[in-house]
Amino acid sequence: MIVDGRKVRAAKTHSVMHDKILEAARELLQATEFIDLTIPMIAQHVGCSVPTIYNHFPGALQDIYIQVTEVTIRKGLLRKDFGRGRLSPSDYMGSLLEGLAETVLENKNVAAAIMTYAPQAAAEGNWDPELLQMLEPPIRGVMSEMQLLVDSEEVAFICSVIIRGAVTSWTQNYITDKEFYDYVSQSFLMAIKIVSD
Amino acid sequence: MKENFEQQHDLRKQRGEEKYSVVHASIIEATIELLDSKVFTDVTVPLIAQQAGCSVPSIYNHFPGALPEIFQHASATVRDLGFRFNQEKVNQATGMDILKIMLEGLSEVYISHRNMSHAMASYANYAAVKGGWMPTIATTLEPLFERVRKDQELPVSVKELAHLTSVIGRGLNHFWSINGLSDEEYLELFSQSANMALKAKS
Repeated sequence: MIVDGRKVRAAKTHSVMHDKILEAARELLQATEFIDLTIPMIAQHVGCSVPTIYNHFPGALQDIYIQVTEVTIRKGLLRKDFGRGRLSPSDYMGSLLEGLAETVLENKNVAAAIMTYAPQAAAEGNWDPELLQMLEPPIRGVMSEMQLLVDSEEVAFICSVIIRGAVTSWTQNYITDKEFYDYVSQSFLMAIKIVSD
Repeated sequence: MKENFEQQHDLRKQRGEEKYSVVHASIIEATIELLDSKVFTDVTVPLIAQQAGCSVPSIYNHFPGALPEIFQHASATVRDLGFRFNQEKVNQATGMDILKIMLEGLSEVYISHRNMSHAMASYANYAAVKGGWMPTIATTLEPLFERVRKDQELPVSVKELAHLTSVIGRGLNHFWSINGLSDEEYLELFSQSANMALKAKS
């Protein structure tokens, strides 16, 4: 087999650039409200051209926000994932959610951006992902150990509704950081109570 | 003579204010009408002006915050409608049915103004960044939970229950606005949101 070295290098460069753009957007959102963030600002921060950004993210800011959110949720769920150890299944899940809450708290403008852009993308007919689906595998995992007579998919769904509601309420300033943290970290336990009869 | 002039002047001022508030209301109405047939991302200030029969600058005069501000006022109008939709039945209900029936009415009104509701899910964040948005629905729910408490024991304060109900409701609104729920699922779950809050806290 002949390996096309140029192609491999190009693919590598492409993915490095992709990640750089996402990281730049996340960094900029630390200090900039999402409504003030523009593609040229991101290009300047990365040190690339504006067309390069559109090349990586044809859907522009919407695409960028979706992917930044994906990375943020994934990182959040890993943040306090120190393995099951001696933790009970529900404490373990609580720990993952604490990590998620902490990470989202550090990225308020990312959260505000995705909550704003998602309904717009949906109205335009191109919203696909339910980003909180990432909660499903860990919930399924811990619930298989808990041996409850409830459907893990339903629990994951209610859990995601509570988290979504907490994020919306928090980015719209209806609830404090502390309340947000409490709702998210307790969402799994609340969901189990809601689904159980 | 002077008195007469002042009187006339006042009348003009009064007429001016009346006209202002008529135009104000017609802009809101035009927005709600437009959203009956258009998704919110297709609604623009010139379109609203055309529908309301006024000029574009006149819209900016009434709503300096442009679309986010217009949507905010329009959705407040829709929400008030929703609060009152099942008013009589709510007044007669007892126990948790009070909340269920009220929330059912609210979600029905939201569904009949689907695009408006979806606009709200998105634009609320713009408004929040600028430092404003509607008062929380929790303040409307609290007195209803207060009534429930007369019929049954509640595990936590009415404030806590109203708060959590509003959080769950917002989660459902948002999920519905990204087409994660059908209208039927949304209606069913939204009417149950107070019950879910109660279960979560017991």
